[in-house]
Amino acid sequence: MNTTLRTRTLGLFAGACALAATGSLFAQAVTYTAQPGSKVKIEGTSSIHDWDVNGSIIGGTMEVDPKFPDAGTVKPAVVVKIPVRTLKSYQKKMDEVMQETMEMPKFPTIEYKLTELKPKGGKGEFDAVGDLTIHGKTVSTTMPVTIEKLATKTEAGGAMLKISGKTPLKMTTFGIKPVDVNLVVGHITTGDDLKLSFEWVVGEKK
Amino acid sequence: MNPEVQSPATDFTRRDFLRGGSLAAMMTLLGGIPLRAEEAANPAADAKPVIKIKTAIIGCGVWGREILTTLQRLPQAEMVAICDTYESAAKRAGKLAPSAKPTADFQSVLADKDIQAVIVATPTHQHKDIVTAALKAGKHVYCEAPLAHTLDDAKVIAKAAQEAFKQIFQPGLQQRSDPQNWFLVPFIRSAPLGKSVMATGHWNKKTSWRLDSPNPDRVKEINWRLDKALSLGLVGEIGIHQIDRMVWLMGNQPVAVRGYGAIGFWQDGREVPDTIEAFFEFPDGPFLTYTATLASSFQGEGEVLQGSDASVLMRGSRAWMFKEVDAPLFGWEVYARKESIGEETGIVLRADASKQKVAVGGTGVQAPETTSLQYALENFLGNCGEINAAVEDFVAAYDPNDRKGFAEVLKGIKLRHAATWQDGYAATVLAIKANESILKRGQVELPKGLFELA
Repeated sequence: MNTTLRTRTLGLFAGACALAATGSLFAQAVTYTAQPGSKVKIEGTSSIHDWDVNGSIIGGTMEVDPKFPDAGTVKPAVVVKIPVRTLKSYQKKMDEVMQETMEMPKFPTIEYKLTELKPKGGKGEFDAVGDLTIHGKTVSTTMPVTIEKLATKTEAGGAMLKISGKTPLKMTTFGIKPVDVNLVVGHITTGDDLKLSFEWVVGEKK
Repeated sequence: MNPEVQSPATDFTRRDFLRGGSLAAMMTLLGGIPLRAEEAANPAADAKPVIKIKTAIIGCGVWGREILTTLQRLPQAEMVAICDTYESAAKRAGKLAPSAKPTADFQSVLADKDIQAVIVATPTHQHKDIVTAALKAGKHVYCEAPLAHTLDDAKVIAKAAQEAFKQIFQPGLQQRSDPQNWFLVPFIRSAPLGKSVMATGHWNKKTSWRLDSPNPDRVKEINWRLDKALSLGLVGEIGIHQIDRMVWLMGNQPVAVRGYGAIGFWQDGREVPDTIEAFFEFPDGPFLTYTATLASSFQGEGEVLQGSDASVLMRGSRAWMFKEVDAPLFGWEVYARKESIGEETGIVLRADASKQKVAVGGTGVQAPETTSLQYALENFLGNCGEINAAVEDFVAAYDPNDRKGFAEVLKGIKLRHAATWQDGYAATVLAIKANESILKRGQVELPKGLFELA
C-alpha cells in the first residue's frame, strides 16, 4: 500500500473509531447525566380525597448537540429511569398499596425513552415524543416540555439544564387496575386519571 | 381562656377523641380523662415488615437480653451475631437468638460485610470505641442511652453520627419512638394545661444494682454502675429517659440544674448515690424535679406536668388529665372515658411479652401495649431499610461522590419516629451535668449552646 493511501485509510479508520467512541450520530455530542435536585410527582384522585406521591430520584442520561437547547435539530438520545420505591406519599399504607398494585418487585422502575423532540414556538419549548414504560407496559406519549439552562454549574464546571414537563395519564393504559382497599379512613377507590409532572436536572459530563 | 372560643387546639383534641371512638358512660369531670394515642397513629404499626436487616448485638447483659427478647417479635430483625466479652453472657443470650453466631470479638462483627446494623448495649463507658468503629465500618447503629459518661466521649460519638449521613444512628431514647408521646407532645403544647408551673418525674425501685459473679475478676467489671468514675448513676442510667421526655414535652432546655444525692440504704461501700434528686430550672417555664431511689418501690415510675387549668399524669404509655374545677370546658371532656386514679391500686399482669393487662381502680380496663423499646427497635430496623434503599437508588442514578447532593436527598427522606443523634447528644449532656450536680450537691449552670454540637 502506498503512503497516501495508508494515511487516508488510517484517517478514515481514526474517524470511524471516534464515531464509534461517541456512539452517536454526530461527532461532538455532549452527554448530560442526572443530577440531584430533580423532582417527580404523580397526582391522583380517589373516592375520599386527592393524593400524590413524590420522589427526588430521576436517573438517566441525555446526549445532545453542543448548541442544545438554543439550536441543534438532531434527535437527543434520552433515557430516564425512576425507581418506583422512591415515589412516596409517606402515608405508609398508601405507599404499600401502590407498590403492590404496581407489582414493584417485577417492575421496579418507570422508564422513558425519547424518540423525538419537536421545537415549539417559544425558546426552550418542545413537544417530547417518547416511549413511557410503567408496570412493564410501554406506551407512546407526547408531552410539552420546557428546557432551560441553569445558572449553576456542576462541580467540574459543566453546564446544567432543567427539563420540566407534565402529562396526564391513565392507570388502566399501563395495565394498572384502580385500587380498591380498606384503610383507617374508610373504604377507598382510586380514580383512573393521573397527572405526572417532573423537573429533571442534568449536568454536562466533563 | 375564653370557653366560647373554639381554638384550633380544642378542635384538634375533640376530633382526636371522637375519631378514637372513646365514647363512654357519663362520669364526673373530677376523674382523670385518659389521653391515649390510637394504634394507627404509629406509622410503624401500619407497615408490612418486608425488609430484613442483618443485625448484631454487642453487649449481652440484662438490657442486651431484653433487647434480644424484643427483637424476637420483629420479623425484620435477622440476628446474625451476638457479642459479649464474657462468654457465659453471650451463651445465655444465644438462647434468645439461636441462629446468631456468639463471639467475644466485636471487631470481627464489624468486619463482617453481611452485617448491616449493630445494636450497642454495653456499659456506657464502652460505647465510644464500639460506636465510632461501627459507624466507620458502614454499619447502622442503635446505641443505648446515655450515649457516653463524659462530655468528650459524647462529642466524639455525636460528631461520628453527624458525619455518617448514609447510615442510621439511633440513640436508645425509646420514648422518642412511642406513638403515645407523638400524640401527647402536640396536645400538651396546645396549652390545655393553662400556665404550666411545675413538673415532676420519679423512679422508685427497691433493688441493689450490685451484681455478683463466681469469677472475682468479673465483679468489678459488671458493677460499673456503682463506680463513680464510670457511672452517671440513677439520673443518667434511668432518669435520662424520663427527663428527656419531659424536656421534649415542654419544648425547652433547662438553664441550670441543682442536685443532691445520698447513699441512704445500700451501705455496701458503694460511691454512687442510691437516692437522688435533681431540680431543673427552665426559662419562663415550669421547674422540673426528678427523684429516684433504689431503696423503695413505692409509686413506681411516673411524670406529672401541672398547670393552672389542668395537670397531666403519665405512667409509661398511659396518661390522664385532671382539670381544675374552675378551668374552662372544651366540651369533649363530657364524652371522654375516665378512670379514677387515687392511691396506687393497680395490679399489673404481664400475659406475654407484647401485652400488658392493666386493671386500675377495679374498672378492669385492659390495654394491650407494645413497649416503647419495641417501637424504637422496629422503627430503627425500618429506617435502616429505608436508608439502604435510598442509598442504593441514589448511587444508581447519580454520582456517589456528590456528597452534598447525597446528603440533601437523604435529608429529604421522612423516617419513622426515632431519637436523632442530636436528641441523644442533648439528653446525654444533660444527664452528665445533672449527675455532676448530684455528686457535688450544688448548682451547675447549663449555658446556651451546651446541648448542641459546636
